Amino acid sequence: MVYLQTKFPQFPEYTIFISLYRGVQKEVIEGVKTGLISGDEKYDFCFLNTTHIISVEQLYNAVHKALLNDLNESKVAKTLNTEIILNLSPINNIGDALRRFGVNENQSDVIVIKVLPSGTNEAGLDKLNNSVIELLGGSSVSNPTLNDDIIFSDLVDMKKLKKVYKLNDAKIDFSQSIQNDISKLVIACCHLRGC
Amino acid sequence: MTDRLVDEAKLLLRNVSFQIVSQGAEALVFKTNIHPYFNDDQDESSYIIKYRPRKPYRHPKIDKSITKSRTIGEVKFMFKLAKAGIRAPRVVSTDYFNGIIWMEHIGYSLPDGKESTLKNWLWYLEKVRGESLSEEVQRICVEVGYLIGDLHLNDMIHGDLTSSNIMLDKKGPALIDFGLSSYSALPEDKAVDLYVLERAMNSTHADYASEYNSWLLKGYEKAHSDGHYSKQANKSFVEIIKRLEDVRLRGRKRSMIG
Amino acid sequence: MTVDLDKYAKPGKSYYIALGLEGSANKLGVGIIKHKLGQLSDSNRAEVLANIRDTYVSPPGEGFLPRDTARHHRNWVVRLIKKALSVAGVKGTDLDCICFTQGPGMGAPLQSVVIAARTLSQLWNLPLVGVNHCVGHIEMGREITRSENPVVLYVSGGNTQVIAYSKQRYRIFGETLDIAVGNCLDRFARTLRIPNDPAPGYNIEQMAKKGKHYVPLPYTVKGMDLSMSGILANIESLAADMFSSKGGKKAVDEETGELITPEDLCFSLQETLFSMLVEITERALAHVQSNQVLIVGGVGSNERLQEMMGLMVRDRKNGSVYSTDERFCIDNGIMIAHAGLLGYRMGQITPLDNTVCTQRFRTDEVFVEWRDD
Repeated sequence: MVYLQTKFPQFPEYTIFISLYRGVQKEVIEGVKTGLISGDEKYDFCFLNTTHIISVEQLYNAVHKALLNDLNESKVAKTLNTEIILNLSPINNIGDALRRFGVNENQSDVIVIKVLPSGTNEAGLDKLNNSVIELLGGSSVSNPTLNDDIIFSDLVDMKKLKKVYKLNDAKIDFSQSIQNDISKLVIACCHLRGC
Repeated sequence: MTDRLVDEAKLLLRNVSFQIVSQGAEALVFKTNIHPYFNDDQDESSYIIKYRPRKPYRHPKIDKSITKSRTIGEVKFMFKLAKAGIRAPRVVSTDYFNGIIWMEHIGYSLPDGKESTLKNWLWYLEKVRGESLSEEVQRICVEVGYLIGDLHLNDMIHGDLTSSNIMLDKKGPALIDFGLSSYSALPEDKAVDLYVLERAMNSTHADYASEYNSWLLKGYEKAHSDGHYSKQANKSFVEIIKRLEDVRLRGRKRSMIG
Repeated sequence: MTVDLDKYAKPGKSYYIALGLEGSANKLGVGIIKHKLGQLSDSNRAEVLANIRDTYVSPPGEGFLPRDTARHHRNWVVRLIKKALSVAGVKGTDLDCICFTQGPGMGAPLQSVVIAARTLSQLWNLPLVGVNHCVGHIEMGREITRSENPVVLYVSGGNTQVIAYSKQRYRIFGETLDIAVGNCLDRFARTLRIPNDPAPGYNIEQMAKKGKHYVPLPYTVKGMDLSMSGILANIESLAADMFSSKGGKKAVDEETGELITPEDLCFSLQETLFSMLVEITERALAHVQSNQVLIVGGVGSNERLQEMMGLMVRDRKNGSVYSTDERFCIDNGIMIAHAGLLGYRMGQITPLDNTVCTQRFRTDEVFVEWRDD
């Protein structure tokens, strides 16, 4: 049972669930996409690919900003899940954001995020995690801990990330382990989406 | 500080406890230990919340537009600083609708309890340790000058350079407060930026200002002459200093028709 | 304040009387003021013996030209001086000095007035005191309102400055980078062909009161300063579209779909310009850590500006706004007499050779010897 759960100090009414699944089959992901488009309730989650994810912090920021926009009635997307995806993007275009950050059938790593009422207890979260594992293929899918180490070593594509967030001219020594610095730049970039 | 504004902030910030740091013309500054989305119990970092409240004297449409555009402008400036490797607080979160920026807090508490701005540090050294012209002070001033040089090399203008807007900590000096910042490649604008700092040093640190200012300029020159940015930088430096002399002669302001 | 203001007092005389001549723009003012010996205070106020003014009003759609204004001043100055002396009940020889506006202002009108001053000086054998027009406004504002040490917003047809006193200078904290706010309003009044009587700014104010819709205009505060020429260009173009007989789309308010009226334009212009003025004033207040504002200059008589300033200072620990009425905030001779007399009492006499007028005369060039706070 490995998933991340957190509460944001400004939104005590929600619990945030984030988890990583690896080894998801192509057909399953295609099914997820279809389900998302048709609005099937089974797929009421935020599904992400891992290419442009640099840190857990980046994910939390996107969720937080989405909740803030929801509160201020300034969401661009119709659903919270899509708003989260949009808040990972430097460009204010939903289609583009979904393509880049949304689930991708050519990749077997999937991050799933869900915003739940804060009353949800441990058992409820376990149940949720299990249901996602089932949804994504059951026993063939692994569910390792999502943390900054695994992101940096296994999941992120730095070249693509730098391109998307236009960080190639940033004065950072990319040869050093500067995950934290890059994460902060990416987050600031997201906050300037559409500005 | 006017209570009404603090109450407004408390409401908008939802459950987050904060201390009041200052009230400027445009914004209130708070300090908090709470991170909006990534709280780590072991982490003792603090954060700064800058809040631009509504101005009741402005027409609501003007007010909304200004609050939003100024907040965004400041975030943009901070992002560009981060990209350029110029030390400044990094953005943590934003709420443009309500004029709020959440950012890293840079600095520490000096032994006399004050924040480690260049101003407070110099005052502390002067009053308590009586060592205003030590090698350490010289080194720090040169570093600050270098930082400002880097800023100008990137055609960025701080707009309000005073010793209160320069923060010191272990990693070195950092710039803060970008409410009046802008972009310009003109030597005139860079000279005015330097002049504001020079005047601020003269009025706040009168006794040693001439040494401080010369060290600041040394660092500023080094940023232009050491070639780390471009080979043309030295030429820009010469032009800027020439303009600085003009600005000194006429005072910052132009001569106006009555 | 422990400055000795009576070093140059005439033995046996317990007061001073000064005549002031103002004509830097289209208002010609003659004032006669009396100071008793000693510090000015609540129990020793300056006494206005006469404050006479005549304004040169140009036809609607036209501004006042220097040549015509100078001619107006030449035609009226003797009349006004005689009237002032009569109202005050004094003769030329009762005076201590002749004060005149040395600058800043328009060249030809300033010239006409200084010639009158020099003539009187020769006639009655009195010393001349050249006065900075802005300092005149400030000192009169301080005297009338008895405000301690406020930040001053000086706004008129020719000037827009935020001033704070420090170490014997009125230092300019913020100012216009191009035109003055009064000038901006006056020129827009011309575009709309609003009458210039009693003043174009006053008429814009009345129209603005009837405006409802805010039309987006540029907002150009630049740090501690502000710029207004862009706003003027923008609103003049909006007005041109409005009055264009070529047809095409007329401007409407986005929310209600109602047509934008000239009153709406006046309203929008005032809201924008005044917000900017209040903002740079607030910046100065924060800088010097004060919460008192004194508004001087013709535009200071605008009630909406006063209201907005009041709202701003209320949020700064319940500060105060001081302003004077049209007798003193619009250009007048009494302020020149008052500021001139303060200078005279410190020995700041202007020798004849130095009485050349100057169009550019910065407020911070004046040595405010009569204060030592």
